[in-house]
Amino acid sequence: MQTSISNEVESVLQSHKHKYRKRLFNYLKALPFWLLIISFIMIILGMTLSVFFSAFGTEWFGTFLPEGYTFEWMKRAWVAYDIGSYYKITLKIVGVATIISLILSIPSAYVLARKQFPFKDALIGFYQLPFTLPELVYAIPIASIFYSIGLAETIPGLIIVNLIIGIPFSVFILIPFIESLDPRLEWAAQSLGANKWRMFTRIVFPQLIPGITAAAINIFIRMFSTFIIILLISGPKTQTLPVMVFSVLSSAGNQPPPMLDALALTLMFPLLLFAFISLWLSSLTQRRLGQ
Amino acid sequence: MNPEAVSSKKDYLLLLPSLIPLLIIFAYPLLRGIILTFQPYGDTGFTFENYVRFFTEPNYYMTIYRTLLLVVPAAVLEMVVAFAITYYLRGRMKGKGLIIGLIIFPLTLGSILVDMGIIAFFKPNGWFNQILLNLGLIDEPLRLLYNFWGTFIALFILGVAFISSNLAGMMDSTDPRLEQAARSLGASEWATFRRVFFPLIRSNVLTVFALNLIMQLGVYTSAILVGNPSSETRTFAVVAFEEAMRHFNYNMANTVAMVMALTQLTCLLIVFWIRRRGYVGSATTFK
Repeated sequence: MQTSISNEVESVLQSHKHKYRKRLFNYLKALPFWLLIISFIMIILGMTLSVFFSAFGTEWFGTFLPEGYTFEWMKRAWVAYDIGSYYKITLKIVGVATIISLILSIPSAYVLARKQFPFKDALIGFYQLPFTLPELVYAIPIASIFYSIGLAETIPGLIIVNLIIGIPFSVFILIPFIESLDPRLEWAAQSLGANKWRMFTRIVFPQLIPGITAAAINIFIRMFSTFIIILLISGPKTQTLPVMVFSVLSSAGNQPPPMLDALALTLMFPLLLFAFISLWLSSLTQRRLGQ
Repeated sequence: MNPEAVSSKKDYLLLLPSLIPLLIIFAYPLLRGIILTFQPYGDTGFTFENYVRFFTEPNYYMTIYRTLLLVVPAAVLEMVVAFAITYYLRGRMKGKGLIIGLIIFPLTLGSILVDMGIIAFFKPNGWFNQILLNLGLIDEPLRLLYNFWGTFIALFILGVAFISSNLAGMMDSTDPRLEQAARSLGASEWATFRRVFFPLIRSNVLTVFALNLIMQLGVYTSAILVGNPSSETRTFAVVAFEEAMRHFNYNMANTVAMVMALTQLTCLLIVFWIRRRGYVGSATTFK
């Protein structure tokens, strides 16, 4: 009796020991992965916080945290680089380019979504070219053409080059939205005597509002970040915010670093706003298209 | 009535509003750009002079070597790190969305802000060097800015973010029952990974690798802001911009861009040749 109990206790202890060892082994196996993940995230957070502390710190040299906090650098950067006006110019260029891209791409997206025709794949391939080709290859000849016909360093010129990104991108975003519409509504409208134009404005367009909104926000964000081609044809007064920030940073000889970090933050705020908007948008889109 | 009969040839005119602008502002410059590379500077005619110059003057042909030396090791390292991270985060786990979100965060910020972050974080008296000095791992601050390593770090951070964003979904796309079957037949965890899981995901991994590689071969902002564009990080884009914006020699600038595009194409073909030699197909089973 006594021995059997002690044996039992022994075996329970043994199994515990075994379980414990196995668990320890699993922890050890996971350790390198966690180290990798944590150190990568730490670097990203460290980089972001460093820029913030630098831009909002009074004096930060060799210590772990700045001496004090201030909005002074932000104000100075705002005035020195005339950031307000660049916000306005960027909004104007990208906003107008968004509207033009949408107007030009909705009819094409409708045809591509609804119809089968020869060379359709080739056409879709052509629309994909601006994303697949390196931007430099077509940006340089565009710059040379624009400089020779006087479109470079003008607002219309910048709007026109943004269309290269805007048109194909909005076509591809709109196609799935149009495919999800019920074509029978359109046949019904036509059978009741509506002509093409009325069918489009009364039946197709109202149903497409969510898709158009999604496309507008997406291409706006995309064109806001268009960089290489804008850099090549922009002048000192007509450039978008990212290009202006880059120009200042790449020629920053004697500017104090906190000032430059404050400048970088003025670019970070719209980008963070865009990130939240696109997260919200993608969840909305998935619910609508039922993917 | 067949509804398709209602449609007419006129409908195809609806393609024109988007097609004509693209032909004018995209296709025409593209063709003109190719012609530019075969013309002497600021002149018409036909010549191979630009390409001959590229491949005979070290100022130009060294860019191929420098760009590859910078980007290829970075791309391989990014792939290894991003694969390990996303592989470990497979399946359901607490806080996965947040972790992936933080890893992808640099993509949202873009190259310029990542470069600024690198300057603020990796500078000699920045946090990175302070931490290492306090831990006693180094005796004097590491010089990580305005040289090869600055650009390398920038590429690494953006690359890991890009690859992770693509791989995160793919890791969950394989059918878990295949691995369960292997395990139940007595395969070890390592053997299951090597013989079952990896072959299934291999083609996707190589596709993402190729995409990332050709993207990074065009590196420009990081080469300028945190690199040393006059020597170590003199990449294709740096030279092309120099020719276009400083010398206004669009012929030579476009020649550099063409060589860059050809290099990207070569890399793409090599990766896809490797990819073709293994299983290329879906990782999901029919359900």
